Amino acid sequence: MGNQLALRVFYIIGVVVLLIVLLMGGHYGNFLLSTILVYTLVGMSLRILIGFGGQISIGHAGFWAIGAYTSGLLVVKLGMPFVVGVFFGGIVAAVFGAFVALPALRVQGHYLAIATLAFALFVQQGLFEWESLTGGRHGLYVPRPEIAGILLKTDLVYNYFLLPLVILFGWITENFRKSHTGHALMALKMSSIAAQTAGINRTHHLFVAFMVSAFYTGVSGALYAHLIGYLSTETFTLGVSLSFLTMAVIGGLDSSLGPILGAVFLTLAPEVFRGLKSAQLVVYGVTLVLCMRFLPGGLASLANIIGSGLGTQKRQKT
Amino acid sequence: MSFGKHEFLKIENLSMYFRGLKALNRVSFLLEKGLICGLIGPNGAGKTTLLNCLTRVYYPQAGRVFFNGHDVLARPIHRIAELGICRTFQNLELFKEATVHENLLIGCLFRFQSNLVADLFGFPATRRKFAKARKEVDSVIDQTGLNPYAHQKVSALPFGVQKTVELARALAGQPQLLLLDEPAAGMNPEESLQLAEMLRQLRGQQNITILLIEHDMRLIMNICDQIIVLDHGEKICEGPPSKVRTDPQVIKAYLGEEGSNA
Repeated sequence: MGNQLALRVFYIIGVVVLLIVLLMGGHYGNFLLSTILVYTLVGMSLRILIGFGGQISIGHAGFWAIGAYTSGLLVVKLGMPFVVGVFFGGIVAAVFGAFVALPALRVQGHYLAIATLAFALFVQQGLFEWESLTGGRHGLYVPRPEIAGILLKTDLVYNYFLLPLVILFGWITENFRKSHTGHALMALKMSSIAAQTAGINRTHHLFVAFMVSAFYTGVSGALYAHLIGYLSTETFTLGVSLSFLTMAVIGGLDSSLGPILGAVFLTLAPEVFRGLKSAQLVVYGVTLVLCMRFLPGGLASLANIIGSGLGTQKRQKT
Repeated sequence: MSFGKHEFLKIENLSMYFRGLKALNRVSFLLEKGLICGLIGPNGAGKTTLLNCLTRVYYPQAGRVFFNGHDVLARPIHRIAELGICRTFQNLELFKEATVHENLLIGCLFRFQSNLVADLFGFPATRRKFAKARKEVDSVIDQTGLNPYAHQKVSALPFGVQKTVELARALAGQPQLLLLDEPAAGMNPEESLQLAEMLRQLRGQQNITILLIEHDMRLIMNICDQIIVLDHGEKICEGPPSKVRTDPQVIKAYLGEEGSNA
């Protein structure tokens, strides 16, 4: 327990230091920070769905794309304010989340993974083909975010908006864990029969988990759209879904720090391993496998490994 | 057939087949409020199947179940507890990675309104709800003597304590009818006596009606007001312990043909 606490403190200090470094790190540092914050929301989304709900999704690129395009189109075509676009990006994604919950009521594991995968492909192809609305192959230009007439011109200013928003979502995520639905999902994950005979409505709570998760990812996609400024269906490939999953697992699904740690990894790894070019994917793959094998609780659980390692050493000495 | 208000639990011609195997065949009985009723019979007699039908884990092919006038079989599995029917399982179905306290909290949550928005934003209503639920859980923990384990993970506890946790979780639902599937299995004689004492108290102090499956005949004969005997999915005998004990059909079912002659 002591180790776990020490590690938490270490991570929190590390994350804060990193935030400050990136905030002062000029344009590029701020862009990286914005990216981290946007990914953190996806990490929280997967913490809710996989960590709390025990469900799997390799379709989150689909929700991300829906959020991004919804917000982009509302702002570009209807002239809606940026904040409204982001909110509806989440709402529309949540509606699709309800559809994706349908297969989860019947199937689990591999089959659910395939169903969610199909959803991501469907969304990507749909956006590509619907050229009159989304611009299809030409893509869609999205303006910089603007709040109450103030243009968030630089990523530095955007970060001042993103940071409190991500903290708010983090707080809501932890409330979700302690909520009625959070307890119900935990129960369903451990014994579906006992949970249901104790009056827990499986259908209801699975829908909630998928919809809330999709909402987070939709909001993240919308924020990403305004950060990048240009949307193309190339941005929302299956590879993105897999990166999200990798990020969530490496960060740790059982810890409130997991999402931010995973997001830092997903954002900074390409910077660190830039020299490897396309061999980068090998690094992700190997990291993921090592993580699943030796660190199933992700980076956030590193203390358990260190702790038990020290424990064995002590035992050997005596 | 009609059913009056006074009928607590009424089971009519319940039949359940698994690919031609008759797990239950036209089983009917009445259970009065405030009784302790034993459900006994050799292995494979259909006892657990009956409990699973009552809680809608299974949906029987034929028959009806009424509880306080409610049609039990017309409800989905998660709407049985709200009628006041809670149960335990033969092979423990606990929330193993959660603490004892969390297990009981989950067991009583259905009695509280779920409000997602209030929960997510930590509204006072949510805090009041969980404070009330925790208080109720604490009192059940006191009652069942689980205090020393309250904040331990269930998976780390000895088997006997886990059984008590399951009973406590069912009690957290404040049932009128408690269904127990072999509560004394794996217990030593002393624990079994304590269990008998607790069940009597539940009936006496909280007026909980208990239907229990059990192989421990001493326990059954000791605490039951009524006993129902199943064999091969059929009810072969029903009555007070004194009657069941001497019933030739029951003896035959347990000991075989020769036993009844002996």
